[in-house]
Amino acid sequence: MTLLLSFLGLAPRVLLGYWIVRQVWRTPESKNILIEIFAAGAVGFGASSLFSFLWIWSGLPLRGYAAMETILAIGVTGLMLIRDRKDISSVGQYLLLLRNAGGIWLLLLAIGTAFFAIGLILVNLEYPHGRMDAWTNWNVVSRFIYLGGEDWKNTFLRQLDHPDYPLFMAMNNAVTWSILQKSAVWGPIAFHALLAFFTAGLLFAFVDSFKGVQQASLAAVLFMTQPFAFGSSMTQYADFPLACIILGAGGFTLVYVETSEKGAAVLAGFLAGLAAWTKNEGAAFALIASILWLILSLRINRAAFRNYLYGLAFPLAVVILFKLFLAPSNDILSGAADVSKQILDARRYVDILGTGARTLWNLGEGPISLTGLIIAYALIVGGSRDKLFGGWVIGIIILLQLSAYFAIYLITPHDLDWHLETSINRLYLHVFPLALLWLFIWLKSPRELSKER
Amino acid sequence: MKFIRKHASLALAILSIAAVGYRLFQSFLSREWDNPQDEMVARWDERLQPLREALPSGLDQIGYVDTSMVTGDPSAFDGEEFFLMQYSVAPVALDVGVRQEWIIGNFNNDVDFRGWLETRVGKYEIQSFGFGLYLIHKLDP
Repeated sequence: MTLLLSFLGLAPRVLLGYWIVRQVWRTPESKNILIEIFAAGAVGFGASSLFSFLWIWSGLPLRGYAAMETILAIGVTGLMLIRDRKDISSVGQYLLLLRNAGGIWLLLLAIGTAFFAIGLILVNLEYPHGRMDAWTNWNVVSRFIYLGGEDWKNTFLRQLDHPDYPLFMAMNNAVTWSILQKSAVWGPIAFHALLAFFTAGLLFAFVDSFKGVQQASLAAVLFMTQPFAFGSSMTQYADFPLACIILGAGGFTLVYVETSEKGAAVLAGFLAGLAAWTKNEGAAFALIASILWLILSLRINRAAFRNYLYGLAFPLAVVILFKLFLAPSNDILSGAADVSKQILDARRYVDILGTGARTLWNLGEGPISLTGLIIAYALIVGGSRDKLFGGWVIGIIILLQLSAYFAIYLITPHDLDWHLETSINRLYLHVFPLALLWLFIWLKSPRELSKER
Repeated sequence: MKFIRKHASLALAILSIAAVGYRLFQSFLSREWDNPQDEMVARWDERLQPLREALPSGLDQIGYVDTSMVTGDPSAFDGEEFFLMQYSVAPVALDVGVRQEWIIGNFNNDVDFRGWLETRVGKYEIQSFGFGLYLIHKLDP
């Protein structure tokens, strides 16, 4: 029963997220319904975590927030179903068109999804509390917030771990526990499992929007069949949620570049800000995305950056307030005493790049090298003739994000080998779904290949 | 070549599914999912229940000492048990050392910690919860 309630307890946030995406984006294309649905997870969880944090910081009890949010979700959903009933029926017609993808692709997608679910279940059975960092850095904060009441700020007194980490996950788990009225292990499990499916769904939806259902099915199947993907999700770390958010921000950036739909810019900004609220590495993403959007606006449309900022403003403001007034200083920034020596040490460059290359080759953790498979596939099918300028933008985002990680390793005060060994695969995870989006936007789709003479 | 190009996408999808299916089958047979490791956190949490209930209300922080402090060997500090302890006693924050009025002791059975405690905290009362776990209350805070 607790398991069922744990999933149901997430529904208000997902519903509100859906209506936020729909109201902000206002896309005229019914084919974008899948993006709206699967972006609802990141947006809903994100908005909820921001508002619930401000709620408890102002001294109000968390239980009150959970109740209010649930009532709001039900009310808004009822109103929107009445108001948008015509749009919803046309969307139903689009969903039926998905059958035209061909039975074999839908079958492969179904099998891939089933295996993904099995993988999530098996990892969860082995680690119901997540891996070590989950209970040292993430879920422990949820316990302080849920169990601490007005003393929740004791979390910042914690020693030997990272009390400066932002609160996207902690707030979501705490809100779920407020609904369940106990700190059940199923709360975080349901959150991470649902977010895993939303990530796969969002990847499918973005690729489908530009390249069709068959290419989208291939991208989603490739993602879901990596042990790396379902394994990472059920560690209950913040890396997978960050990957989902980066995918969303990158995907909406692509949508804006190709369609100039104002709402896409706002959502891209909101998700970029959320990245900084999810994990400290997300702050690097928010900065990179913001600089790129500024450049984009100079090239495409001056209003673009303004609209992006409309979305970025709220989460960024919360992050800044959190860092200024609550969070202790970060271990890497406070420990980076003499970076000049490290920057000039050629050995560090060799170690970082070497470990990076080896990890990239073995990414996926499957029996066959994913990178090798992708290279072979790309050589066989080649690039699509329908080039999207937005594809280049995503590629640059990924490259700059990885460069930021390279810089962090360069200046880290921790032992480099230890830091690389314990984190590099998780950093690749952050950009993995977005990299697959970029790849399958760039490659020829099965539809294009079937039309070739 | 045209045949290969046309069907490469299907082949990639099928290969990926076959590979993960094989991997999941291996995991299932190896019973990794039935590993007692997964009980560690739950077991620890359950073990801490009586100690948690004995904590006075309104505590923001509680001291923490383990065997490494008694023996004077910082390299023997058990970080994993520290983090498990922190997870279990949340929302009370652990403060390594004997500064706080209330202190959790986590000692190996063969360590004589009482004399060490007396030199560090003076008079104290102590409750034992088994598994080397103690709740110490300084009488001269």
